[in-house]
Amino acid sequence: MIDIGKKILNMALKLGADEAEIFLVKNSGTSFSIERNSVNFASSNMSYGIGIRILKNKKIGFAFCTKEAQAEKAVKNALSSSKLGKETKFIFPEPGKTKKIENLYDKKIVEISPEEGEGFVKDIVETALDVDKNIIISSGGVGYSEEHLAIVNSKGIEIEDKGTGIGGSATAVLKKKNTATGFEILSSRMLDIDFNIVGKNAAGLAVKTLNPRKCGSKNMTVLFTPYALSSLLEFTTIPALYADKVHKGESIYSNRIGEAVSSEILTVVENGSMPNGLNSAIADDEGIPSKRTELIKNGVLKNYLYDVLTSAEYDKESTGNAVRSEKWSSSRTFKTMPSIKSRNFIINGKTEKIEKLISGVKEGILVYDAMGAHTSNPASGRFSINSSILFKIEKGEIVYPVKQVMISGNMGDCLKNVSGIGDDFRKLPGGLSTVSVIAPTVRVENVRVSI
Amino acid sequence: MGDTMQKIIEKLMGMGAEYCDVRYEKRTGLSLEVKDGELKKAVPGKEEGIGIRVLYNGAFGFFSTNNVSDMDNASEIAFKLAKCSKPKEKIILAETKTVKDRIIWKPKKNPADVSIEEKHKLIAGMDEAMRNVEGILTVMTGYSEGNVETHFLSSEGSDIYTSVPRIVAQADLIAKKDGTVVGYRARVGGTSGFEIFEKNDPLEKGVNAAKSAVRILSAEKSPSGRFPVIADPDLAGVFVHEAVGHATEGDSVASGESILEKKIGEKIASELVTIYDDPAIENGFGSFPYDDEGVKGAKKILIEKGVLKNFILNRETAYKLGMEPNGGARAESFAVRPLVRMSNTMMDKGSCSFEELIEDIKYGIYAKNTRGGQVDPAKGSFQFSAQEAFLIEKGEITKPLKDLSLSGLTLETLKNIDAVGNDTRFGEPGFCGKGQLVPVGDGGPHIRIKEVLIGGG
Repeated sequence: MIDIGKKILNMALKLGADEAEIFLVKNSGTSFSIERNSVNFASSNMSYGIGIRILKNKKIGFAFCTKEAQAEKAVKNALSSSKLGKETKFIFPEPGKTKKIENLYDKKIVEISPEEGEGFVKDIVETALDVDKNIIISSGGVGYSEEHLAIVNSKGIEIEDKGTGIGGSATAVLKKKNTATGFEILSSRMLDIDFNIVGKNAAGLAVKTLNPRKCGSKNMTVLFTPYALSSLLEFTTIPALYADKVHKGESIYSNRIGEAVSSEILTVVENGSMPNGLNSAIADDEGIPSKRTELIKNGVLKNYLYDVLTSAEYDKESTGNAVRSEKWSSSRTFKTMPSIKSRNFIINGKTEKIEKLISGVKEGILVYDAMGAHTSNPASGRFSINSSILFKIEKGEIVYPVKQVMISGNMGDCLKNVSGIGDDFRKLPGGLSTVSVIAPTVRVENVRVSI
Repeated sequence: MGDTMQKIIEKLMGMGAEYCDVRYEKRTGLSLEVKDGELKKAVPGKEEGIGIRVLYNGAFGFFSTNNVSDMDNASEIAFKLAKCSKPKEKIILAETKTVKDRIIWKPKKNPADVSIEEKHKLIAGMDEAMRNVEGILTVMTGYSEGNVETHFLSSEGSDIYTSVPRIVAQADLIAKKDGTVVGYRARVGGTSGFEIFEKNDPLEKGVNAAKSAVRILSAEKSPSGRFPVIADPDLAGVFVHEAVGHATEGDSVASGESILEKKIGEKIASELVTIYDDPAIENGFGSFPYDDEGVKGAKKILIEKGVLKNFILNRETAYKLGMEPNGGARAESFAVRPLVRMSNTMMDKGSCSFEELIEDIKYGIYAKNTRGGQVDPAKGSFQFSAQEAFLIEKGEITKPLKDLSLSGLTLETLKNIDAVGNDTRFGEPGFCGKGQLVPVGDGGPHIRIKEVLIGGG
């Protein structure tokens, strides 16, 4: 693949580009979707494409194609589209030192046969039915994929990488007198997922929330499970740390490096080089070696996320957060230029046992789902979510499931009001973007809950 | 390409398939993005690909690729997946007419004939005009055009070629004053060419959006609680799409996930409510001539005067529910299978003027447009956020409100619609996500809802 990239790179320079970068990616994936407790659809997809980014007279141009034979046309398109743009300080990065990251590729995933894939689905459904025979797994499934990519540029970057991924998910519906739902999702880069857990947890949550009671409207302690927390972070805090937005003043974190922006027990880290991270790779999508970056340390804002373009504009260093993906899409693509995205976003800090986190609550709720998190306003941090899978906590104990509530507030304030961080870490894929959040349950004081 | 596709069908039928179809697509497009006066992106694009769907022993297998010159193993992979997929109930496709047709929706002003400079000028002009509104911090404008040619062949003999253009111009802006930040979005688009911008000026829409955002900056926090609400056509459209439309999708009905399961013929809404889904609306953002199973896209009345009449169906769910397929199968692209999806979902107009809707409200909310929403079809609950809102006091709009979100139960809310306006229009074009993203339209009149749960910030 790298040879094709080099060939196109030379062609681009010959056709008049001052500098160029060729990104090649080949994806193949298989998925089984569940409907009403059985596999209702099995599909397999292959995609191959080439993204070409050039610099001509300090202006950036971009085009893509899906065949080597179309590359010449694409280069010409990129050159002509560059004319419309403005001059930039952007230059392609020089090669950096990459290091191998453990557990990103598992040959066993590539070798999964369709029969085995279907077997994983069976595991999910059967364990769910073991929990309660009236459970219906209404949606979910199993998917696995392999990705092979190469990046070459005229500064000498030549990177070739491959990775695998696998995941299982389920939404369980239980209809008795009431209707209850539960869900679970597990993802990994290696074939180390226990699909039984997916079915068991999804069904278990539905069973536990079957007879919910009403909860009053008031400000109270809210424990966000990793699922609810990652949805909220994905659409509030995470985009507010993207340097391009920050430097335009579009973020609650603009001009606040060195300030206390959260509770001092909280530490937030971005790490594209985490072993078995869902978005880990030896380099980001423009060839910057993946690394670990502290964003918030003991409550103090330390850094933002950068790609090369933004770091050149503001005289900073790229944090290796250039990702090629389209808005609302959770997969990588050759069809867009890189832009700043979090890869593996880690919530950490002074953790304590989850039991202790709960036992410290006088009155509160434990929230599993965050419906509508994507309608949050990342520029202000405001959110308003609906939750219908949640529990009441009274005097330090989970007492009963609760009917649907609306939870609203400002994520910036919520992070300041964090009073406890659990130890039940989960690694979750993004809902509507490529970002992966690694987080435990987090306790937040004084959150508005209404019914 | 037609020959290759025919050969794939013959091969699969020879392997013992019950049914198969092949979709070939050629997608061309261009997207531009301007941020604060600078062109950030100008990406021309072209992609072709094929999706093969095969039914064997009551189970579907699917294979897709964008490398159409290497299709040797395609049939085998799709067939093998069908063999591995074991639905409890065998999938049977409801009968539908075999169609041979060729439909080209020709834009009046073909974007291909408009220079890239003029397209750039369109959004750069929007950008500048919006940033001239005092209080606007940043603006991002985008232009995107695309044309999708689809060739659909099925083992039943359908052979359909369609060519559909789609165009959109949009603006996302942020207004800021002191510590307060407000985001706002405006969008114009449809299945048409550049002529759409003559009727519906994106610059004017953008400037109005900018003024709205600035007004919200100094707005008061919205109250929380249950209040009467007037929703504007944009928001009514989103309610119709999110809360009602999703619950009428045949797959969620057939899988037991929808609150509307087994409710055909029942009165589920106020008799003022008539809702339909219509892919045949001229230039609608969600319009299409044929769905991705080769069924003609036709109007379906979902709720008529409060009574549930129909669901949105593909061939599989039509059979399961004992109904007729009605052209509800859509795929984001060749790369994925068709799912049951909406097109343009609308509420019919009623008889009240805006003054009549508002005059009896002592204390309530006038909510406009939306930043998006979500539903839980099994529980019938919805949540969406209004883009702009006003307080109504003693029958009059008194002041702007900030960050307002609405939630509730669909069936309760449908019954609580106690007045419907005599105006109706399309809301802004949108993209609906259900694992796949497809363009949709929605809209309706102003509606009044007796009581909705409002959450502020």
